[in-house]
Amino acid sequence: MSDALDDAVGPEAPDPLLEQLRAIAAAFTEDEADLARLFDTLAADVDRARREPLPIFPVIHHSPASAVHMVRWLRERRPKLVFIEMCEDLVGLVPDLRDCTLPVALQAFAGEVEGHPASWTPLSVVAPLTEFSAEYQAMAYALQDPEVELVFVDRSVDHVFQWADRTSDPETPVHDDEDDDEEARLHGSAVGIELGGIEPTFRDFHDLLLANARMTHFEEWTSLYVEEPTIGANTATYRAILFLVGSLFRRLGSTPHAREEIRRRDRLMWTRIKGELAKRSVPPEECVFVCGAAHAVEDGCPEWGLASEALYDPGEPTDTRWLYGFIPSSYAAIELQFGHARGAVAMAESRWKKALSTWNLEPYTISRKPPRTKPKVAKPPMQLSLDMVLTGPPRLADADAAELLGWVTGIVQAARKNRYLASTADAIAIYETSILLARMRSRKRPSPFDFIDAAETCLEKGRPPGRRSVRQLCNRMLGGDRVGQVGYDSLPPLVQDVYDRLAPLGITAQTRRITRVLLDFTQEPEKRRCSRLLWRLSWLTPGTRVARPIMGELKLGMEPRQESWDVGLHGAEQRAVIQLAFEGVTVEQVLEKRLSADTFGQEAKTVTALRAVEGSLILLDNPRLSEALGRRSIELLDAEVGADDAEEIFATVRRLVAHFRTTADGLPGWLQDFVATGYAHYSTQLPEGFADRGTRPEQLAAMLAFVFTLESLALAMGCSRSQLVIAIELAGTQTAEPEKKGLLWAAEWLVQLRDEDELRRAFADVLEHPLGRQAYPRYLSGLLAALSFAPRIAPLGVELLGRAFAELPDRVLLPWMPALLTSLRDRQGDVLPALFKEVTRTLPRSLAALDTWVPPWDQATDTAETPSTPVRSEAATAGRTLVGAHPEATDAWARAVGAAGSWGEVPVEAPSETGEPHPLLVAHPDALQSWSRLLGR
Amino acid sequence: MTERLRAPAEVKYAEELEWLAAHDTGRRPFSWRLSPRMVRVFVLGSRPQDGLDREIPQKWYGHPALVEKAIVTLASDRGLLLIGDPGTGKSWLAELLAAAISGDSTRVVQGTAGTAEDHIKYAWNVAEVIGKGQSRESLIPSPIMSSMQDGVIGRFEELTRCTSDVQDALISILSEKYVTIPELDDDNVVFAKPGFNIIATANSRDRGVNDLSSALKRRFNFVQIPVVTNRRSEKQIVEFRVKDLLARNAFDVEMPTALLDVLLQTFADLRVAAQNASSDDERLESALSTAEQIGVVEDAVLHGQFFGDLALEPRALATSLVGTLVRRIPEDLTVMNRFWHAVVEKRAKEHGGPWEDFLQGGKDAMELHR
Repeated sequence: MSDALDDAVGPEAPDPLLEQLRAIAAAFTEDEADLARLFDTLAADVDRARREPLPIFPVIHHSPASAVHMVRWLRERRPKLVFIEMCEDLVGLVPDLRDCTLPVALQAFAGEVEGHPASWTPLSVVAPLTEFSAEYQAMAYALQDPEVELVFVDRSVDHVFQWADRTSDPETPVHDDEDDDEEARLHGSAVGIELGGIEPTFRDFHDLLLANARMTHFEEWTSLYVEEPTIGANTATYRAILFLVGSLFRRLGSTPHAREEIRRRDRLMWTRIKGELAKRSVPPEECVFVCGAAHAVEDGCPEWGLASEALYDPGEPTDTRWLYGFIPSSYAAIELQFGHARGAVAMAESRWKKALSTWNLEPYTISRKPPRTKPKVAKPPMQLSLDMVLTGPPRLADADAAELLGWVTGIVQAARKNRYLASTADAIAIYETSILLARMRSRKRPSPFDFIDAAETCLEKGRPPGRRSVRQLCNRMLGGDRVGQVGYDSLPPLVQDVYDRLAPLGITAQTRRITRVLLDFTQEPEKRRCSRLLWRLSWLTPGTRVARPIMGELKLGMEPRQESWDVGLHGAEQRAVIQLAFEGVTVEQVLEKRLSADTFGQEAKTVTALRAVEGSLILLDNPRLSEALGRRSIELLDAEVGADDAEEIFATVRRLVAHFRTTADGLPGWLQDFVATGYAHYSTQLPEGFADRGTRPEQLAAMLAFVFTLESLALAMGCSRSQLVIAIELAGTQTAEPEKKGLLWAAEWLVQLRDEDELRRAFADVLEHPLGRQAYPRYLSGLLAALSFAPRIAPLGVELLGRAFAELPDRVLLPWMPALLTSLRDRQGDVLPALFKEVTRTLPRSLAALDTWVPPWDQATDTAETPSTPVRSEAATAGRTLVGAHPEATDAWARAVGAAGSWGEVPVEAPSETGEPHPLLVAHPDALQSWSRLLGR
Repeated sequence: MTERLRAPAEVKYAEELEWLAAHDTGRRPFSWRLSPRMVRVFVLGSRPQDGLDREIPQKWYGHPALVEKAIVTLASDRGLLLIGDPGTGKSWLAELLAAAISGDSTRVVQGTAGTAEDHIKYAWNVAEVIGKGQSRESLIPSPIMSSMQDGVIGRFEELTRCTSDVQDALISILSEKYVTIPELDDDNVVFAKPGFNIIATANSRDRGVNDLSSALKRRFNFVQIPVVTNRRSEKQIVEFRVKDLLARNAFDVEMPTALLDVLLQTFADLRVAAQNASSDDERLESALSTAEQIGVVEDAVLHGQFFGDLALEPRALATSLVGTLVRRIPEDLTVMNRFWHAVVEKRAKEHGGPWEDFLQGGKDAMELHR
């Protein structure tokens, strides 16, 4: 068997290949010399790589063929030292892979940078692994045998950024709308590291390659031209093909910039390999260097190969502090990260499984499970020479033939489940179309991509009827996405702690679904601790599904009795919690850090500080922190100019004051100081706020609300009202905007600079002024805004509103109505209650009463001029007349209840001044008529 | 040959089709004139690996997979429905496919709100019926029926403009592949010969007006033709069509590349603006397709030829662009005005050259509209 692998100088030594290539050059080009020279170079590359004393094992990213041959190579050669093209500082993570469910990604993270552009913060690098990655097989092999050493030789993660182009941002995945799955976003905005990425960077070459092959995706190309021919071939042939492909793509398919980057990494990797070999007494032939096919080429790199003694110094890493760990990954995330076609990784997985069963291979795994007692006996690969692979179609495994039928029936079923009208006739059509498409594209059998095209053509009719399109269904069927999970032992302390603390809820590191949790604290008070943790997680990971409250809320001073939660700590959610671990050791520590950062950061504002204070009170039991944050908020308020956040500041302070007043200790010192500072601050700011056109009346109302609502507290703290009075007087000279004037008049009334009659008169002047009438609604809006801090002004507000409705012409009134309603709707918390209360007190209770209702403000003026006669409705008048004419029933009733009294003179009144009966009586005369009949009238 | 304003594809490319048929060694389905691979070559142009001795130019620009899907559909049992925005080249693709497969792209039914079942099946020559009674001689077959009789591709343009009951007349044609003529006592069935199929087109903007019934949907394979947003493809299309136009009118004028870039960039910017607009009033009503760009160039060239100094000028191009895209006044004019001053002005400052005249031309054109 080892003969088959021994290809240092094998049966297909480079000369036949070279001759073949030269023959091609002669046959296909007129200027054979140029092409021949290129082919010579390619053949020389292959030859050099194969003859290198340190065996080079070329791989392609997530290629099952690479993984299969890696397994074969490792089982046969059993190398003692494994070099892998992977960031050198990630090697420490490998032993912890034992606990993880693939795919997961090795991650390096730096929250603060030194020596890199600050705009890149935070820096994150991911290297995702799947079971069918050759590098994973090599790592698993190394872990299984304690005598085998594993060395990562590529640049450190710090150098990844050091060598990146500083004028632009690092290349991170681009999320578009099509990638609607959350799984696809698992890597966040990390920079991806792939071992064996060979996609040509030179765009024209890339396009030409695909156009010639009649393909859309590069993965399709590698699958048909590299994977299929080599997966069943012997390893020697595999290596030769990969060397050839690597050489071709590096020399022709790479941009100069990409070539330079690969060269630089080659220089570093060979330097490190030589250094590691010098440290150990392992002969090179007992080692293996697993690297991308492009790195197997010596392309102007003086350090390449053990024969060279040149060494390269990459320079020191920066002082950036890197943290390392795992995050769960997914096939969709890998595809998005590295720009692969959707579904490509899942298809690779199915090829990998097929190859394992075809060749009876046992892959290496990193798991705690004991290895199989009776190992499988692998079937030998086909003895395909390089010549056979390069000139003939790939040999198909048995499983390939039946595959298409399975896909066709599978997709029709899946489509039917997803509300497509799909029948057997469609299955036949898809089968036929797949074969026709493959033939047209010069393929022996349809590739998965041909099949997807065929299924889409035959089934997709406009919009998908369900949630998933045919293409998405195909991708799911051809493997589907897998989401990895990082195991408990491989998790950072913070996440382990989270799992430990949520264990009473039945959530463990193995849970892979969203768990609905019902918490009844009256029955299980001990679960309050879990609830606290869930609230903290919910606060720290907004926009995720880590912890979502379904029922229950967290407010200052509130003690919940029951809560219901959806908790997810797998996949994307697990990643979100792992990200927290880069910030601290416990959730509480991270929370503290975040709150402090919000408050003490350069961007901090008073409102963010107050939010942080409230957050700390709700989420943390740390009075010292709350005190520190509160003190800082005072400093920030002092330094702030303008009234941008006045509304939220007032609302928060009001909540805090209300909360602390109910506690035994009363208001903390910082809050008292804040109120005092706020009183002085806003009083001072008032004239400027009234003068500034950018300050909205709502903001001014919030400032005034702060001042007036918390005035008693502020005065107790030593503030003086005169400051406010002066400010309001000054503000009066500053503003001309009607809303602000309305608001200011209300404030003047509150500080007794203006009495109610003056205020009423001011509004009446506006209403009566033919040119000012237009602006009356705006004045009134200002006054109504004052209701939030001066509810006593409500009667006047209602009066002025009433006058507006009565007296404003329609052309002014009607356009204002929608604005009034929407503005009142927005203020239903503070303005509306006071207004409603007054309105219900003032307006008549029934519709009938409305007709004769005289508004109290009009009434007041009437009383002076007319004698006081009770105003009765027509119905009441009619009833009174009737009772007056027939007092017997009433007398009897009075006797029965023991009431004594006599009848006064009851005038027989006319039903109404006009002599017309009440409309209600006209509409419903039955009651009166039957009464009349009873009385015999 | 009689002179024609516009020759159908099979006439225009007759020599090419003949050559391809003569050199086609592939298997031809039914009565197809070319094998599927050669149809592909005819539509998408030849490549070195096709092993042909002459170059076949590309005639339709878009993703090759779409053309492949369309061709294999026509070789199958189902009809082909091309869906896309106006100006994406659906009809042109249908014409090329019909020309390549059947050598006749003129069997067309134009779908409108007034299309009746007669237009799809058959009608009667009233004079003949009165004179001789109903017979096959007095029958007027529709283009679809005649394509059934001859085993060629029939075309149905704007299928979704027809009412649903008229559309459904196609169901039996596509499944049974025959049309019965109940008015006749004998010889009353017209069977489709092998090679018959239908290429229909539908405008995705008309979606929901006359939706296809599920039964009809089943009998069609849908191929979506997207708007070309790839700069390189778009440039190729505009160049190709403009060259065609100039040749047709025998104009001796060249489209400067820099000017073409200005046009393409402006359209790309307009598309971005339309995407980011929050309401329909903030985007132009007109579809920003490649066909609109060709229209813009065509107008500018014609204007230059007849009223200008023959050459294609940036000013004329801008005037034509504003004239073509501004349809609603004042909405479109407002959008265009904002766009012109925010985007085109910036480009003119950055790049200068033809952009400056282009900027001014657009401003002048908008002044006129006002």
